[in-house]
Amino acid sequence: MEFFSRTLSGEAAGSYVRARPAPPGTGLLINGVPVRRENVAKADARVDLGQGPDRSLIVEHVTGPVKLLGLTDLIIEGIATPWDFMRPEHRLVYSTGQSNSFVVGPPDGRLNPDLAEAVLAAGISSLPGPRRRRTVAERVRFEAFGGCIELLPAPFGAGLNLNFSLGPHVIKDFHLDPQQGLADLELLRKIVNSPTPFLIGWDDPRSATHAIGDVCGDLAGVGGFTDLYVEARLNFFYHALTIGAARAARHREGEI
Amino acid sequence: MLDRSLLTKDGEINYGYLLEWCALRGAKTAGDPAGGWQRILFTGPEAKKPLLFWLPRIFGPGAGQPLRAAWRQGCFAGPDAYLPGMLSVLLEVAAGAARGMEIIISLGDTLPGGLDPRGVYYFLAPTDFQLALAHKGEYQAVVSLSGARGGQFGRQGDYEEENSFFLALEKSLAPAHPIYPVGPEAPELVRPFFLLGHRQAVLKSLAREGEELVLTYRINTLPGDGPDEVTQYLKAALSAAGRPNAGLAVTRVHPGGRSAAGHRDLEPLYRAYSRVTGLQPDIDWFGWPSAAGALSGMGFKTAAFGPGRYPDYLAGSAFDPAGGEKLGQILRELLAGTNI
Repeated sequence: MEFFSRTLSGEAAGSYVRARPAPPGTGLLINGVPVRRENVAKADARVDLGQGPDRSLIVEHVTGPVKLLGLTDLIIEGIATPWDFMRPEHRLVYSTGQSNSFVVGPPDGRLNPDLAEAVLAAGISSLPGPRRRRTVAERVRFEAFGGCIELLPAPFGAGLNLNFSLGPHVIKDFHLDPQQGLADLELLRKIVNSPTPFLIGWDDPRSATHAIGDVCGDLAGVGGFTDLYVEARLNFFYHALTIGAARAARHREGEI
Repeated sequence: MLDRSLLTKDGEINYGYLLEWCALRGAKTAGDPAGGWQRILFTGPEAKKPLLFWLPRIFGPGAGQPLRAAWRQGCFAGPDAYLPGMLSVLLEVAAGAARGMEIIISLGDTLPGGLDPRGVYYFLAPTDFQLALAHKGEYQAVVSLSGARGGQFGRQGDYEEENSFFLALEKSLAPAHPIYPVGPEAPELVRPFFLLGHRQAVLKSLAREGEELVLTYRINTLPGDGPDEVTQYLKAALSAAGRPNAGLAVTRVHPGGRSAAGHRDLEPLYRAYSRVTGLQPDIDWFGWPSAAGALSGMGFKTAAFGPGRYPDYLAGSAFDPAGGEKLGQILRELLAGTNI
């Protein structure tokens, strides 16, 4: 079976994660765990991935840049760093006896911008072949903690099309084909360098820019969706919305 | 329903009432002859092994029945009502559960013998429903300084030196972080979120003893810190304050510890919490000394968990009925969903 695949041409290392190429069909692996809906251990203020006793924390800050870059197959591993117990995530993994290499997001709340730069420097290789696409089989509405999201079916090839609000800010008509990545590298860098709303508050417009990366990571990375129309009113726990909707959705697959 | 109070007029737990209430519901009880602890075992018909809950010393004034109706009506609403309120929730859940449950009431940090190291010990504590698997410790240390510029403290000319040393030491002990806002300018709700991961030294007293300036600090340590780490931390601060040779003695030790419990041990609680709230619990460490730290240090699987925030608890130690209701729901889910 022939797969369409976009992976790294070589290895790429950021400060908190390193990535290496993966064969077609591998998908995304973070610390050995496939990035899939069924492996999400927590989704509210952040997304944790687990299968067995260990969990990787803040995986959206990996899946976000990876999907913005249009990568489909990649092996990602966390890098151990000195303990910083001011970080709540370090307190968590210390408490459960894990290495802090399982905290795969940087402490400043950005979407691993140095990983994105390392991937761009290493280069991306594409293998031609039929592109497997995924959309929702029918409209999905999901509500949680005062926010709501709707996932609407899109034709194969339409990509992700986001319209959402976060606090006072509105994102309109953001488009990404998760199997192609953003062509506008300036926009990509703006997104991955915007910190999480938890550190800057949602009055800061960068919080909504950051949320673009998170939403793409959740829907395209964890949910595996390539084609959707998305309408959402996000709140602070927006991963509960994106992952909750992805879990609630029946999907439809095909090729372009 | 028994028409008597869980607490005596002096604010101590009314064990006679408690034991009678438990016996009527088929619970077995065992107490320390010296009064250090009380174990209450509710053996449900489906029980294979009980779930273990731990309450530290029950203290303070309060009144009411150990039944939900009582705490919902505010019988445990007064100051120091937190722990009696928690006990009332536990008793009601235990008495109504099909599965076994054991409650241990320990006065102070006295430990009953024969504790099963395989089970998870849930400590009820005001963690705001965060699951605390590691516990900070508390140390006391005395810093003493005699003489300034070759002179002796107490002389008028030395006050400036004394003040400057004290201010420099306080400055070097102030928490700092390159990213997180931990200074006084940080929002009140954000600051404690990060500070929980910091060693903090708080001045307890400042005195002149003879010709010495004596500063007593209470140090909130990281889990796993021992006297060596505390000494190193303070020596670094003294050096930064320009007085590396000031006297330093660690005078009281209450180490914290890390629980032996991991994600797999706690999955039942994750599921129960998730069913009630729609969220997974946040895992953090408990910021203050507790019996959970002592038990963790002995290798037991512990988890501190409960409604209420510690600073609010310190201020009023009140029991929040809504928090008690939520705790009861989670515990019922835990008991119903745990295959033990």
